Amino acid sequence: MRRVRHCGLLWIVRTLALAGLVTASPALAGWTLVPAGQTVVVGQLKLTPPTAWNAQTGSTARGVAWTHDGFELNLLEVTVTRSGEPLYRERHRRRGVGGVLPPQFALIDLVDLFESGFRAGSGATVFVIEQASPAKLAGLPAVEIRYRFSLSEDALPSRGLVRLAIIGDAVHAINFTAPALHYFDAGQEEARRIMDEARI
Amino acid sequence: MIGSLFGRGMGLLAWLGGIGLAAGPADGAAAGPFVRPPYAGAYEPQGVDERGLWMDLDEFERDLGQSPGVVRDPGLNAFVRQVLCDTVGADRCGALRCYIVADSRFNAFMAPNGMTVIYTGLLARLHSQAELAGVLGHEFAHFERRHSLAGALRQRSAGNWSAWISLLGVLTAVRTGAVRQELQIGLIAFTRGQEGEADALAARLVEGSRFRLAMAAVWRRAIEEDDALRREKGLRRVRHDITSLADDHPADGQRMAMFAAEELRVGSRGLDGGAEYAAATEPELPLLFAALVRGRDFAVADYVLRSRGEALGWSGALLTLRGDLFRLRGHPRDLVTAEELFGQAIAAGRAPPEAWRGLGLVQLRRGNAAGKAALASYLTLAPSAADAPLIRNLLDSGP
Repeated sequence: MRRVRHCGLLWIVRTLALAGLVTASPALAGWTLVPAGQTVVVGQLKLTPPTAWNAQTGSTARGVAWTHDGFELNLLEVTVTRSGEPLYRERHRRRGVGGVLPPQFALIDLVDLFESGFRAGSGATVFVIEQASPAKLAGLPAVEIRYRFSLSEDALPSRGLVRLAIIGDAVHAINFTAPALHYFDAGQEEARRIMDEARI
Repeated sequence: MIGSLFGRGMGLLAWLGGIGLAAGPADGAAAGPFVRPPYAGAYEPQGVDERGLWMDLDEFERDLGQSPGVVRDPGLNAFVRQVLCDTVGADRCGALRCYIVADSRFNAFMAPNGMTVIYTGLLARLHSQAELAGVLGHEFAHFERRHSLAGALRQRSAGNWSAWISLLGVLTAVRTGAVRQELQIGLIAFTRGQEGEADALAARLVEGSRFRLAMAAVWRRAIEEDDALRREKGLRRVRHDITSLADDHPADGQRMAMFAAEELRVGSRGLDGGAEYAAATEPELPLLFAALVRGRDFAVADYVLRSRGEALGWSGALLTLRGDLFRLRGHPRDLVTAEELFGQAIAAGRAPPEAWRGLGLVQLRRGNAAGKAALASYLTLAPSAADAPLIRNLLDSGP
């Protein structure tokens, strides 16, 4: 209609090609193994995964990204975000950021901020919160959000589970995402265990 | 010049000539009312290229049908399909399938196999059935003229030429970048030409339908929206009335001018359908605006909300969405504005429960304990809301 990049066949072909290029990119990243039972420190949190995870090095500005089978199949992110910073890196940096923490915020604000930040960072065109409830993270008051989403590039429905808490002067978040078909259900129990057993 | 090989085709004039309208409005002659050519029946792809293209698109459509991003509201889908059928004719409409997709961008497309995709961002930005008819008519024109097939063949040809020229350059140690660039420019110009043809045909289709031709306003608002975005982001302002070599569509200002001239010629006859459009899209306003309100472009979201409110009226749902926009940006003065908007939404009647949620959260952010009463009202209206456990915990946590 307005931009031929999204008009008709040419857009479809380019989109499929881009998706293929993106999924082929992990070979360019560095990886290390996080053995089962090894404690990892992220911000003020200490995490001890019960199974081994592959950790991508240098991929996130403020945290870690782990996976068992590749990010498209399961992704556990642990991030630390301070006031004035975005929860998720903006996909299109020239256009600004979403989900930036204001100087004063309460736990309840984290629900909206997470949604804005996740939409901006992932490019999700569908994002629905299934439940937002109070929780604990490292013994401190936290918010747990269960959500489902899908990206513009594919028709795959995905689900997520995130727990966010304000620890010190920063928001600490542990976020697990995976395709809704099989992989989320297969991985959410361990993700929840990592969240439950996190400590300061 | 190699570029001349990819100049604008004569297809549109030939088509119009075939139905006796070769003497179009450009020569000032008073053309009769537009009459669609007789429908010859469902079209089947011809040749290996077109069959291959349809096969790929059929597979894409199968995936799209399963996508969680497709909006399945029966009322909205029926409304959009009715406008499409009224614009292109019921006979042609039978071969088309419509999909509304959750995406905040201003876009729509119709694939060569008849699959039509309309983005929610487009529906959020339009204000009437007449405007929707113009957009759908444009997309139908691409389909009717088989632009995608022609474009794909051109691109393949240009790609082939480019590859052979590149190889020749390597073998002869001659630089070929400029020649290959000219091939690309020619291809872009061809695509831009197709878009111009589609606009012209869209004007004819709407003229022959029950709708008023009203597309100039759509492009005017697109320009204003882009200007608002650039102001907010500190980007350089651009002229909207000229195209560059890299533009694969006519400039928005050119499209606005073309449609304005056509609207002057055609007059204001026909149905506008603003009230019908407002009524059909009102139930899905949260879906149409969710990505805009919760996205990263405040100026764009505010412009789109305000333009709809000024054109179609401020419903409680629309005021609530605008309140959320200001609440999420969260500057001190934004919280004041948000509180006013939520209050207006509630006073207007039939406000969604989210109006009380937004009011409560803003009041608490501003240190006003009355926010808890508003949140309690939210829980009364929406006891099964996704964040109800969190809100209840907040209310139970003390004064």
